[in-house]
Amino acid sequence: MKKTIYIIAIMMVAAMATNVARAQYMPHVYINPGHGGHDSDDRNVVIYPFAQGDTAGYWESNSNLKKGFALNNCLRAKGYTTSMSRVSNQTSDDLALSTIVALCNSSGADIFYSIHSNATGVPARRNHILALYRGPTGSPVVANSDVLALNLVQRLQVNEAAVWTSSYQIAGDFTFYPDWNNQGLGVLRGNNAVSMLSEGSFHDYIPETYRLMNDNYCWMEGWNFSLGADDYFGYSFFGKGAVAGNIRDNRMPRVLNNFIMFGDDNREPVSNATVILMDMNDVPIDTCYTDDLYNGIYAFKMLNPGSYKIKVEQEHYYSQTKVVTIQANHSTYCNFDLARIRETPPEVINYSPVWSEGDAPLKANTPVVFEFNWDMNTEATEAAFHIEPAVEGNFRWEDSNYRMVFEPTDAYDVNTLYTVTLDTNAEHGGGMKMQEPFTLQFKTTYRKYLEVIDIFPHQGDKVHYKNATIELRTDSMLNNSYYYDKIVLTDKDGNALTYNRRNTKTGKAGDPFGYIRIPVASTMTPGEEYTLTIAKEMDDTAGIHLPETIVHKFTAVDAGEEKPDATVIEGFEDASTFSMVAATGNGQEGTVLSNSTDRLFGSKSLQIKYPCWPPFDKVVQAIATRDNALGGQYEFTSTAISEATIAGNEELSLHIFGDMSYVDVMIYLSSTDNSSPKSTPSWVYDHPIFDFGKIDFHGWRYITGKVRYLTGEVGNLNPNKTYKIESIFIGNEPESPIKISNATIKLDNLLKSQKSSVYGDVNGDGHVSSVDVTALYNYLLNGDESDIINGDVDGDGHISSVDITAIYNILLGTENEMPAPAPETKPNSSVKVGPVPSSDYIMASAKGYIQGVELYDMSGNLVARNGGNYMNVGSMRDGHYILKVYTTNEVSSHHVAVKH
Amino acid sequence: MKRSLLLIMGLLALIASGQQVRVTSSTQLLRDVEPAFYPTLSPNGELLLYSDADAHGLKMLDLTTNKVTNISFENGAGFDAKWSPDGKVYYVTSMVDEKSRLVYRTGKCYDLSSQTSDVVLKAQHGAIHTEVGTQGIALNGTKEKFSSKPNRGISVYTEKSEIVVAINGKEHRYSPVESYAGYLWPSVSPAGDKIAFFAAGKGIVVIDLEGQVLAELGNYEMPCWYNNDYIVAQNASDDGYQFTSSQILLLKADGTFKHELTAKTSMTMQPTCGGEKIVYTTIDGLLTMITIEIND
Repeated sequence: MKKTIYIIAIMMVAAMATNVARAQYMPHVYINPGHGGHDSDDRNVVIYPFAQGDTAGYWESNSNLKKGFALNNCLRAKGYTTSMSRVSNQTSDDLALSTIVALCNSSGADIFYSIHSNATGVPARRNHILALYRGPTGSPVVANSDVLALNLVQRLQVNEAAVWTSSYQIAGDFTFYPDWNNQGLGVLRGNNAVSMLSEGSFHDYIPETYRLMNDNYCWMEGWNFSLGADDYFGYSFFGKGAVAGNIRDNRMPRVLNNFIMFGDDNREPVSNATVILMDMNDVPIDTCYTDDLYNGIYAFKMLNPGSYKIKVEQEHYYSQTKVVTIQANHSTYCNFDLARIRETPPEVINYSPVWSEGDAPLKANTPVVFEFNWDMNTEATEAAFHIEPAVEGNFRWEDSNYRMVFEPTDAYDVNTLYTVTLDTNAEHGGGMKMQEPFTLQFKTTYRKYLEVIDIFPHQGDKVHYKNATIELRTDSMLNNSYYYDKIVLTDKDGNALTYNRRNTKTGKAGDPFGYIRIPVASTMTPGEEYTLTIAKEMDDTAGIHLPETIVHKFTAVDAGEEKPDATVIEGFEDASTFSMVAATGNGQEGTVLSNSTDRLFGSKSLQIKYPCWPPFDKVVQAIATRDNALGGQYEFTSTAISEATIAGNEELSLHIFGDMSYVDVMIYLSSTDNSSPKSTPSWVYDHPIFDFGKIDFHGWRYITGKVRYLTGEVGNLNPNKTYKIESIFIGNEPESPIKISNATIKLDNLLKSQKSSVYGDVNGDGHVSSVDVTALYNYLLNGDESDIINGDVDGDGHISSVDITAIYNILLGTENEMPAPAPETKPNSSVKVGPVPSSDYIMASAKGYIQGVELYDMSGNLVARNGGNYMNVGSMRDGHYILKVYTTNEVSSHHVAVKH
Repeated sequence: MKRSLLLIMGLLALIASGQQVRVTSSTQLLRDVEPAFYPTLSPNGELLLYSDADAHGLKMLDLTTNKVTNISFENGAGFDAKWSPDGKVYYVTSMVDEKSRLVYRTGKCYDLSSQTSDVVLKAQHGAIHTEVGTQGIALNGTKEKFSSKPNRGISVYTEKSEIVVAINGKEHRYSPVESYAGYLWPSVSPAGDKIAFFAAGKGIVVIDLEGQVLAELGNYEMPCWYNNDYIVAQNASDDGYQFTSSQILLLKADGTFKHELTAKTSMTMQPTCGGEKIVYTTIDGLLTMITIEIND
């Protein structure tokens, strides 16, 4: 007995001595709960039911402080000494970084924890742990800071109440923030404690945001920090453990406003559950509750090691009990997946469409919606769904599987009666089946797809490279949601061009058609091909979408490219020299103004704005009767134009800034001798028209007019006559389905030049081929003049079968006036050149060494050569060129432009 | 109401005071030599202590000869080095003990005449607070202390949220303003009649030797006495991770005048005063010395 007392006394003295020694050498921990207050830099994340700025909602400054308090209490319970940089959450608590460092150093801290959580700052979401220490990764400025970080993240990573998207990351702040020039995190700079900053999770991952609202969740992180400190110092004397977990529904999907969720976070957390900690004899020890903030978190703290039972109860769920083993200095996680109590069979409590015979037919993409009294077994219920006639479709489940939505993949057939049946195999999440089948019917209307009226650019168009505009026109008003995702413009490498979203225009109720008109912010490269893709999902306000995805390829050009062989007749610099001769048809006035914003040459263009609905007479008719009325179009004239003359072997070209108003632009001529009597057919040929076509485009375009006679026939000027320019006409088509009330076009440099086309090149594509023959046939047989540029091959003033014969003669062996071929471009070249256009240097870059560059004009003539990777074009003429780049591996050619 | 009136009176005083401040010279130090941080001017302004961004090591620049002397290569040496009235340099180094992983701190003294450093306070665990007095200096460790003189005249140091004022060896502890996180950067004015310090969450506070608040100068940091009436301080802001602005201010110790010596965007910080000179550094360690003229 005496011996026993003696032994006990020795043990007590030893224990006291250990405690004294431990107290003497216990570390001091400086705790910095990051941020402070509820200001703009305190990371407010808006989550239901809190409004933005509500201090009761989520703020990183709140959760950091909760974790800091928990860590402080845990460490003190273990015998550590501590300091905290703040114990409240006011703006004044947000201490300067240099102050925090000085306070830490002044406190004599051994280790320093700066407690934070992370955010992506971009729409993507993730959830993982990041720990940073000062210095490059692997070389901490203060020794062992990397070890402290590792000890912590290993303790945080075991948190199974969270859903992690990846494992932890540890880095030095110099490495992690490479753009900060090794300045690193302010709270670690000059800090002479072993120090680190923790981003414990991502507070903008919304399920995690809700968890961080929970005090127990934050406590567990603080507790895990303390375990990390124990690991760092090699302590294991504290005899307590903790258990926490997440309680979720075992099958109900979580409804979270389209927020991104991962793993088990896709199931509903169970709020307001009672969690009872019991010993193994079912005697309750402690009770806690999950809150009502959609996180399902519970925790029991400071437990003695041993086995326990945890029972979870919630009125709408079957209760569940699990056995856990608590270890000293460890966190135990025990999640629960509860099954709902579902005691009645499922039934349809609401549905759509509700339709009866005699009701108006429904649109061809009407979804079928069933709402149930229970959350349903999705697989069984989808199998119980039948629709006649059969149509392919997709199911979507909403409201935690209480609502099923069926949508046809494409569309139902038009004018068809459909019958939908849900048979008795449909069952709820508890396995009970429907007692009665459910049936509904509906009939579809005539309309199935969104119809396209027009798209600009058209397939194969040539579009001015600057300030381009794209437009989709449809038969009904477009759905204005997410259309930027459905209408995409890409360059040859597949890179999306940017839009000027602010100036995007869309159709509205009352407009004659639906449209979206998007200015392109990016400048394109002349000569390069671009692709406009409009997704099938582009739909109207009724949800009717396109029948298929539309892809238009077009080429960027410089409409203002210099035309050295042409003479400028009119620059349109002074609007005051123009007057409106007549405006008839609808009694409304037009205006002629100078425009200094949209111009190609000089300082101004001529802007013509005119009302064009209700319609005028048809253009050709109007011209035929111009002597009487001039009715049918606006006519503008100027002194300069009226004095200009052109020879019969010349042609007119005009720069037009279009607005896709479908009006026609023409220039009216009369021969200077005007020798034919008015009553004779020859009079018609003395009054030809240069027709620049329909304005079915946006932006600048360089157009060479087609000669047309008052009869409507396409022809040529008489090479033996001289003509004077009388006026510019603008008219519209009464039959046009596009009822645009106002149109605004702009004109810049009107040029005259010798007809430069290749003899026999009917369609003006630069060479003579069988395509020209086809163009002539289409014109003569069908009146299709779309490909007729120079149809009068033999120059007799008319297009006839004689012209076809003339082309055959050319093709059978006479001259071909094609320019010399340009250097060939090698596909898949690694060489890049730019800028395009350029005013001083064109630079070439490549994976390999560039030996030299050569510049050719478009006729294939060598203009300049340089032994480096650049070409000085500062003194070269504006225009298009070919740059040939020689590398050690390849020779490649590139279309470039010079513009000063 | 009373507070509002005081605020208005303060503003009026600020407007009426009419001080003009002119920077009369500006010189870059150690240009193209090395980045320098934690500058500390000697009382006569002829010598400058500095360190690197992490306060590793301690160097001394002789401003009359531009000669640089290495004082220490140890961790933490540069963070809070002080000049004693007798012209010696006192500093504290820190090291992590490999076995216990605790941080131990050692007090050292550098003698300019012998150009050697001696340990004056052996390595110990916990904080060491440096107490600077008008006649001597002390290093107050948690376990042991060192004093250069038994009577350090009027001296001051901070410990948590207390400022400790010793007058001829008798200590007085004051907590004149509330600050949970603590006090920092205490110093006695050149005439020995005022004390400036920083209270976390409050800013710079000026008190008399009895602990009575004379003025609260605003939420600025690192005060140093330019002369007995003016204080130079740092005004920095951050986003919780890194500095977003920092500038040097001249403040009148009675709170009636404030002047921006540098712009907020200059990222200038860590000011020190001595011999009517002001030295500060930048976020990337560019040292600048300026002289100013104040027309009261």
